[in-house]
Amino acid sequence: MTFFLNVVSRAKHIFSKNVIKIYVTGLEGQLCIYSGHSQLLTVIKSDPLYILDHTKSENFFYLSEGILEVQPKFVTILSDIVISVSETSLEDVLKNNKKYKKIISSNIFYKNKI
Amino acid sequence: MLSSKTIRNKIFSTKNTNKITRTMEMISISKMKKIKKKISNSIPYQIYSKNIINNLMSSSLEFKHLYLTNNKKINKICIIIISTDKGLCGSLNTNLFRKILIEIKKYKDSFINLIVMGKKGINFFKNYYSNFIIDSFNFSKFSFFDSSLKILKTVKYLYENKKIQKVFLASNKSKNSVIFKPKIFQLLPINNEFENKNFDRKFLWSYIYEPYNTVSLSILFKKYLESTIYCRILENLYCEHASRFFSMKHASENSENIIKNLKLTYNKCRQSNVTKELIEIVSGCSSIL
Repeated sequence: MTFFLNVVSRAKHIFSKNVIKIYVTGLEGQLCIYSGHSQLLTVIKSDPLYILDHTKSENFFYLSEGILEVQPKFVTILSDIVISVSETSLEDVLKNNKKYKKIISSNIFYKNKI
Repeated sequence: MLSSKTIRNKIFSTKNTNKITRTMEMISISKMKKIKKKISNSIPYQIYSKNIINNLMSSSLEFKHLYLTNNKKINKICIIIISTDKGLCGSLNTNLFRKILIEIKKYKDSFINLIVMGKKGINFFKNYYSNFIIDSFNFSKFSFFDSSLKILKTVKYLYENKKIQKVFLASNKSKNSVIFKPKIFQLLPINNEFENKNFDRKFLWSYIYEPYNTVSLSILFKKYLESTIYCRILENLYCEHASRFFSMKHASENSENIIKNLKLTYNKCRQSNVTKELIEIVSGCSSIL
């Protein structure tokens, strides 16, 4: 059983595929979402997102603060900043350490505004 | 008749103007492309946030958020005006201001607040409705996203303290790359945009909200409003550059025509001078002989 997942950041449409399950961290704790989940609207915290897609391959993303909408057949994640782990290597992260720190710390700016 | 030197100077200055307009045309094209890319990147966020609100409206909402409640009697409104910082963009700003003035006349009995963005808008509305302006800033000081956050902060404060009951957003919208139309769209309360849709209310369901419905909804609406204002600012900017591109294109075409005519006049003038000198020489020779 799969459901359709959309991950959208402010700068890009990041992910749009059928998936089996996802792990995401909400304000109240970690959520594991499968197909047929009851309707849920929650605020998500800055944390990694784990996706197991229909081909059973694993995808990892770093999400900043955002909104998660769950419907039985589809899930939408709106996040300010999404960084794909597959697109970034360890070397790249170590090299651009300051840049990523700045991106992550910029979330505080949004948090203060709420 | 103008002297050949004056005409030559005129041709020279027109050529210089032509160079400037050509460069501005090029700059507008490159900026248009950049902004179009930015718009297409930021639109999915707005569409999906809109879709979530759509789904929210189709569910059985037990809790009525402040942003969804419609007041029957409206006597305090706010209009956010997105104009441009620079001119030379045809009738883009004029058409927008004309539409806003009509809207202001419609609500003449109510208390109007104006939030103006862009130098052109500030200059125009300071002359006519200076006492209505509550906040104004130009784009040179802030980035586009920061300006949308700044607007939202002001609007949120006013709306939540019930100092305004309706918020409109006035900006230019492009139908295609040639046609731009000024549009005034209701930003708050939100439901007016969505309530007309016919939802199947046979099978009503409700969301589970985490942590609370108030918190989740206010964050969702905040994100939606932010992205809407941001997209509108970008779209207005796209219209500005597209309009400037067309006006600069026309200007360079016109200057080329002027140069053509001036060259013709210059040649005529030169020719008449040559003829005159020839006649003088011939007449001088004939008098000697």
